[in-house]
Amino acid sequence: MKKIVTIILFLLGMAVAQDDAATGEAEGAVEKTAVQDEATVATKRGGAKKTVAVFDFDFQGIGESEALTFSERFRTEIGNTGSIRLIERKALEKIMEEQGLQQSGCTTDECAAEVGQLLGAQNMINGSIGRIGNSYTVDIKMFSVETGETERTANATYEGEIDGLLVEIQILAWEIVGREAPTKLKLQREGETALSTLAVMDFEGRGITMGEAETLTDRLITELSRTKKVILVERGTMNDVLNEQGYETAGCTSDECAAEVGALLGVDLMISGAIGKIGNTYTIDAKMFKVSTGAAENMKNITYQGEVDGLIIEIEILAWQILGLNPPKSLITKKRRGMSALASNTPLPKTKGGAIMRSMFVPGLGQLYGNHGKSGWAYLGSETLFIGLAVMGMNNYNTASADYDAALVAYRDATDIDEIALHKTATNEAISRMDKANSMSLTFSVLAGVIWGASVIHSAMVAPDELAYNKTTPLQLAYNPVTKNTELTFNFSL
Amino acid sequence: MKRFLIIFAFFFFSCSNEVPNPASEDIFNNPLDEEEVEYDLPALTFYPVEVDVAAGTSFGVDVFALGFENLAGINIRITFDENRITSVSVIPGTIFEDAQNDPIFFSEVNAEDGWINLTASFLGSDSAAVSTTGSVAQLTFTAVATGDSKIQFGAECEMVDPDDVFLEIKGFGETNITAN
Repeated sequence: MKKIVTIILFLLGMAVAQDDAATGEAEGAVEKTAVQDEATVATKRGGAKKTVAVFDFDFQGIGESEALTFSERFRTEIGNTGSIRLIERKALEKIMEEQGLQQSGCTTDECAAEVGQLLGAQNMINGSIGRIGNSYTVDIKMFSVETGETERTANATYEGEIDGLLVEIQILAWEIVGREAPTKLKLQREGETALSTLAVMDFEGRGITMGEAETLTDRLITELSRTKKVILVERGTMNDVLNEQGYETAGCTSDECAAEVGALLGVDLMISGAIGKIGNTYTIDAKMFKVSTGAAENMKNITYQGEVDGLIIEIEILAWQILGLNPPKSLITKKRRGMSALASNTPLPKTKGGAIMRSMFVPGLGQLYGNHGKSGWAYLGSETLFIGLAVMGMNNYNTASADYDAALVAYRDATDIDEIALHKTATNEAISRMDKANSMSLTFSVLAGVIWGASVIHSAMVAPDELAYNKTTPLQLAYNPVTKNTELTFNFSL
Repeated sequence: MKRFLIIFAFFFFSCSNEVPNPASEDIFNNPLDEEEVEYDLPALTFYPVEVDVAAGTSFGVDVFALGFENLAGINIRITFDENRITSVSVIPGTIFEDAQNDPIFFSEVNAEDGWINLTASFLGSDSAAVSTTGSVAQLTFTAVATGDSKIQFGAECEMVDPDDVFLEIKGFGETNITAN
């Protein structure tokens, strides 16, 4: 009891500490969060989106056409955020033309504010792109037309080819409106462009519990990540987006909703589906579709009869199949053996082939596998001993060989009659040692080989016969305690 | 199974190593090894018997007397291809070095005709003699042109005992020079 109280007190303490830490972290980001919240609320309100105009970016160290391209891409991307109402570039140019101004000449905040008022914009965005060596810098500022105050700034420094700056500009477009850039853009920044991004909606459970459906969805996500063919969006990220948009994970079951979520996440593909139960039969229907077009990429349905936990293997296989991949052999084996066998860790029946294969790799292992411990250890021990002696022989040979080489060189270099005789004797001795060591190595390696071969044959002889259980006599005479009669039964396998 | 047997066979054959056999292989080929030389003793020979040298560089060749008994005087003629090599220097060997007796040594080099004469003897006691294998002289040559040539003993070689009796020379060695 005392222990339980201590644990509860400890957990409470941890929770309080975490709250404090979270509060501390939040203080530093109060302003940002406030602005983000404002943008979010405005977005959710729909009609309350801020009207924003974007000036062409100033540029230094890059070409004008490149700067215009970047400005245009920024406008497109900020429009994609859905967080603002963007004033068209043409409208901006028209106003400026009427005022006898040029975008390039309107570089001060006062000028920009004036233009913004004429446009009826609430906010104006201007920015600049500079180049220092191989690095590019982008600085963007959004300010209020009414007050002239800077509401938010965003900047990025990028090193590399200039075309890589496009991704940075796109990310800044999200950041300047207080939104997190889509995963796809972040992945592009990391260079992971080859793989498609994918998000999985929780499967709808019909006839199974929500928990079971979620568990199976989790297993699907895990298995999808194992394929290494897609980049998965974290469940947490997806839930954050759903919550931000006012959706509930459980409520977003339609294709339209899934597509909308996919677009918000910035992923290429979405998977949604349902798991149903009719009687003892389970069905899994899964659909993978392209977010950009809404077109189905692949659809799979599985019908399964058995315990609900068997669905785990089915959904793991589904993960591969829906991506157009062949499931790994291990999954196929798991399916063949059945989930119950896996769950109880029932080993595969021992076979003669298994014993032989084991003895082929390590003498004695087949015997150990076939529960013949003594002979297994004997084979293993003697094999180890003989291989050890063979290796020792080889080492002795190598030592003698080195001595032989040295003695022979000394013999050939000698000009004194006594030295010649001495080195000749040493050379002959080394040859003798080489011969002995070689004989030892050869003898014990042959013995090791004999033991190895014998182990393989013996393991085949003593291994369990996997067909043994089928060799029972089909005709059996036995007492049946239920009927209390002696019965003659005939059975055969179907 | 077949693959396994191949691996198996490879493993065991890899345990067998080569052991040199002096009886069938020419392992002991020191030209001063009296037990191994191909010619009869006593003999005159050079060391080394094979020289690979770059043209324009010098190399040394020692003259040895092998297996002589009661040797007191030497007169040796050495010939070489004067177009390929030339003699640079002659240094007396150690065969007649003795604590009691001083040896005398003369050499005459004719590089134009390609020969060297070596004369060595004990000075002092008339009965002084050696019975051994030893160095008569150390010769230094320079390869002047590329190609193969030989340094050999001439027919005028004479070995004598303290009584000036000729000792039979049963074998002659030679050195092959390859200048690159």
